[in-house]
Amino acid sequence: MLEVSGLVAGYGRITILREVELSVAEGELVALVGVNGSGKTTLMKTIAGLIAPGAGQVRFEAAELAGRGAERAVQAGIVLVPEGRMVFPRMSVWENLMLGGVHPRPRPGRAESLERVFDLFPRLAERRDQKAATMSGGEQQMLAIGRGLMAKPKLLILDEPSLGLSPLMVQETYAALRRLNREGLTILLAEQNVKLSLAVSTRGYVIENGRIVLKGASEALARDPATRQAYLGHL
Amino acid sequence: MSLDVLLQATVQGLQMGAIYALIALSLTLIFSVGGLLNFAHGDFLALAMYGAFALYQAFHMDAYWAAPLLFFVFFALGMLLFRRLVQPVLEAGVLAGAQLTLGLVFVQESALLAVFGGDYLTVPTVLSNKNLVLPPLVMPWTLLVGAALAAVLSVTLYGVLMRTDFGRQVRAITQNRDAAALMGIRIQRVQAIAFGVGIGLLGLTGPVVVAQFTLSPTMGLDLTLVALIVMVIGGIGNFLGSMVGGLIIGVAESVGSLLYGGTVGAMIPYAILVFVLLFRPHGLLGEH
Repeated sequence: MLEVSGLVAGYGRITILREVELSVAEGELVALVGVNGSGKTTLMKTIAGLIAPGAGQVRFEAAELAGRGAERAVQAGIVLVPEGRMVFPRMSVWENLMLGGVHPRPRPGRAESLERVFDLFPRLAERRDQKAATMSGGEQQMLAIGRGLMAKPKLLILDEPSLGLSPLMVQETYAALRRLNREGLTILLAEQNVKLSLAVSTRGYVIENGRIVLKGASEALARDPATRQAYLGHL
Repeated sequence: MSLDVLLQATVQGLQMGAIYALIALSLTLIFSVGGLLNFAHGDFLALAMYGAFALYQAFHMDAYWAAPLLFFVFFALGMLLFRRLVQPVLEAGVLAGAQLTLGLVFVQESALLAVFGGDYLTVPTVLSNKNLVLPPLVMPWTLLVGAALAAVLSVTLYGVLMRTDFGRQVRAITQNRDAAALMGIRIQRVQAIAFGVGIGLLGLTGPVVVAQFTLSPTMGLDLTLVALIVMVIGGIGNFLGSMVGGLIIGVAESVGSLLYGGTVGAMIPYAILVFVLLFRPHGLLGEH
């Protein structure tokens, strides 16, 4: 479904990603793990069209998306739930969700999408008219995911969804992701929380200094001495 | 000082206030486009008034007929300016954008001077010199119609910004540009339309309120100042604040001139500005 190859990208003259290869098949839940500053966010942003890569391909289904912009990615069905949630602070929950589905592709089905999001996160329905800025971090994360779902993604990408959340909220967020995947949504998950993300995913990639250094079945990665030493040693 | 006179001044102030509100609202709309402060705002309004003058001179077209025509002309002008000038310059930063609009001030004032000369001009309309008498109030029809149209347009624009997909997209871009891009919003297209509407509204407002003004090539600066004061008082970037601020300044100016004379009256908007900034630095309805 998603085929990233030879991807080189960065900010201005600073290169962060070096020859990244990554693929996601339909129905998978794939984890991308790595420490802070390893290039996870840059990779997610490049796939979602926010950063134009210097070289390489981002192929999604039949379309080549590299350097074509975020609007084209949404059109194709790639939706990124960004790091730090980035909800629109001075707008209500409802307005945020409406904006999630404002693109011409998902717009006709907004009413059904909204029902689906409210079914997944009943708390958003309760807080429908509340301003996003006044909600807790966990609720904002639900809103950010809900807003992403409003765009009817074929591939949902999440960048650090557990960041800054209480353990209980992390559990709730991951339960929602698991449920979405079970219902058929393809998910690519970037996380610092290696243990958790490898536990929910089927396959995983380990990124280090902008390169993919390990990949494989999540279970195997979690047991791999190299991963364990680098990321799980203290757990 | 009778109560009737005070009432007259208040009503007249509210009417001017509605006009100020619309001018400030379009300034706020343009500001929401990537934080661009349009110092040429009043000059675009002046340009529209001169446009009404020219159309009257050339075709005896009444200002009220010129208004819709100039809306479309200015809307197109605004879109063109955004695509060709504003958008490339804004990429260099907000300060470069401010310099650009300051430059437009000089371009427009010089052009007006070159084409129309420096004499004071007035534009007669079908409603000139006619009053509506509702004892104890006497209201010039031109002001009444200008204020009514400004109020209707302000409320309409506010409704569009708060309640439609287009308005939500404009606000989304203001609040978080990257997040807006991730929703698949075509940022530059929405911004171009918002800028076009902002300038287009000035094209519409100019002829409608032209009877309240004496035209001179440098009149734009005063209008820009009033709009800026109104925007800052209401809270920069806050649409509702711009409307409230406009009414406050309109009434304060009118009642102040009545009570203390024209010279002191003209200072009152600035006094209010200082006072508001002292106690509410983010404006009356501004959020941090």
